[in-house]
Amino acid sequence: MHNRRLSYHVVGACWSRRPSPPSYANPLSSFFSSASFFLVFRWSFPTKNDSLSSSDSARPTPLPFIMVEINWFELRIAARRLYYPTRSLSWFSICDLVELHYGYPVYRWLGSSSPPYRSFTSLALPDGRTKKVAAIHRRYKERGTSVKQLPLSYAIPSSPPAIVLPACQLFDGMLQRSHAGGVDWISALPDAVLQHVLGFLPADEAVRMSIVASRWRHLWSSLGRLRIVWPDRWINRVLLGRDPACALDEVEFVDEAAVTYVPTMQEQDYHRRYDGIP
Amino acid sequence: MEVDKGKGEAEETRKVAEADRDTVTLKSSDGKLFEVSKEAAARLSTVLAGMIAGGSIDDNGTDLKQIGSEALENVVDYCNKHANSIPSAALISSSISFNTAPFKEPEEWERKFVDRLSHDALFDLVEAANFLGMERLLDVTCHKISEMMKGKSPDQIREVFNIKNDYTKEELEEIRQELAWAFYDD
Repeated sequence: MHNRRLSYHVVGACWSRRPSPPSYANPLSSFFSSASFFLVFRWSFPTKNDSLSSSDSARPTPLPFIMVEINWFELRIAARRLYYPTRSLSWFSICDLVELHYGYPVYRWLGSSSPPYRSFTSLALPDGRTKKVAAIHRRYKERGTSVKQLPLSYAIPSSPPAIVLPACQLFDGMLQRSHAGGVDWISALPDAVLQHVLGFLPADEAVRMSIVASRWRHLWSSLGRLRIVWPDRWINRVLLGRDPACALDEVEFVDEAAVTYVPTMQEQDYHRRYDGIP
Repeated sequence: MEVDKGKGEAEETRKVAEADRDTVTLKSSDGKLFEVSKEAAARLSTVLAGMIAGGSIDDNGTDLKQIGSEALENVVDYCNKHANSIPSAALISSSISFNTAPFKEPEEWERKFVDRLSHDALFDLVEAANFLGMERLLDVTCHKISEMMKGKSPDQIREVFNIKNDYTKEELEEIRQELAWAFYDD
């Protein structure tokens, strides 16, 4: 795996605002103001001499999707300081920066107990070591070699503990509900729980639930969790239709069919430019 | 020698006393008492963990006025089963990543645990889990409900869960247009 190149394509993006997490748990969290930008990536490691259009056996192994939380402000600073001094931030330069920095706020990766990009995370060094990071990055670009491994815990801070609100406030009068037969018990649940339930449904199905009753109409737009059954044509619609004030805490990607990796034109262009893959 | 023996005995009694304090007594809304190990309660429920840490645990039964005895019985049952099913190493790591770990599919015993519940019991358990801040139990029960919804049409869902459709025709049409991408294939 070390000799493989990392490639990725962006599956979706959304804005999110979340309360600043307690800083004692994650000193880096102070970097991040309340507004964040989420990108959903799919990563893959093609082998060295792989051509993306070659036969099945040489097709890059699809790896779990990850969500990356990016701080827009910091991205700009990094862009100016590091290696995009003049260019405005394009989609791909964002990807590049994330590649450099994603050790900070990799929000959550799913589907695999050990991150397959372990060697790559070492690129994300804390601030103050930008030169070295850039050097590593250049070397990586030139030769496609892996960089010296750092302990994973160093590169990726554990995500801050969720803020637990006293549930009691929500539940005053919880037992007032009647227990007679034929009771609409699901509507007696608080919105948060209903959204928890919807989070386990495929994303587009959760959206369709808005037609059940008026209470359900806008639930989908502020789900804290999404289950995306791949290939999902509507993922961008779901993500962009979200209420921007609601944080997305977890995304689960389910590969129902075996994924055949067909890069889009943009991705092909990107691979040509950066990975040297024809 | 004698002194040592005395020491040993003292230690033993202390241990017994500690073992006594290893459980938490919970009292349901209708006054029934349930015992659950302190360790499991603190690990599985953020609210109970807070109560234990804050010293608001009553030896004669901590009052949980919001939870009926059936639901509490299920909760305690779940705590015990959970404690039995996890090896100690995994237990430690799960306690660290308690709030942050991504959802894992329910295990076999968890599936069985929720499958045997009636609608009402499941509903009560969801509320109890939410009230007690038991993330895993909430995940498992909500997952069960979502499985009951999966693949069903809105009409079927209204029927299964006795939901009243309070939309007018115009509103329904409005939603269908708004979310046309989700409802119609091109």
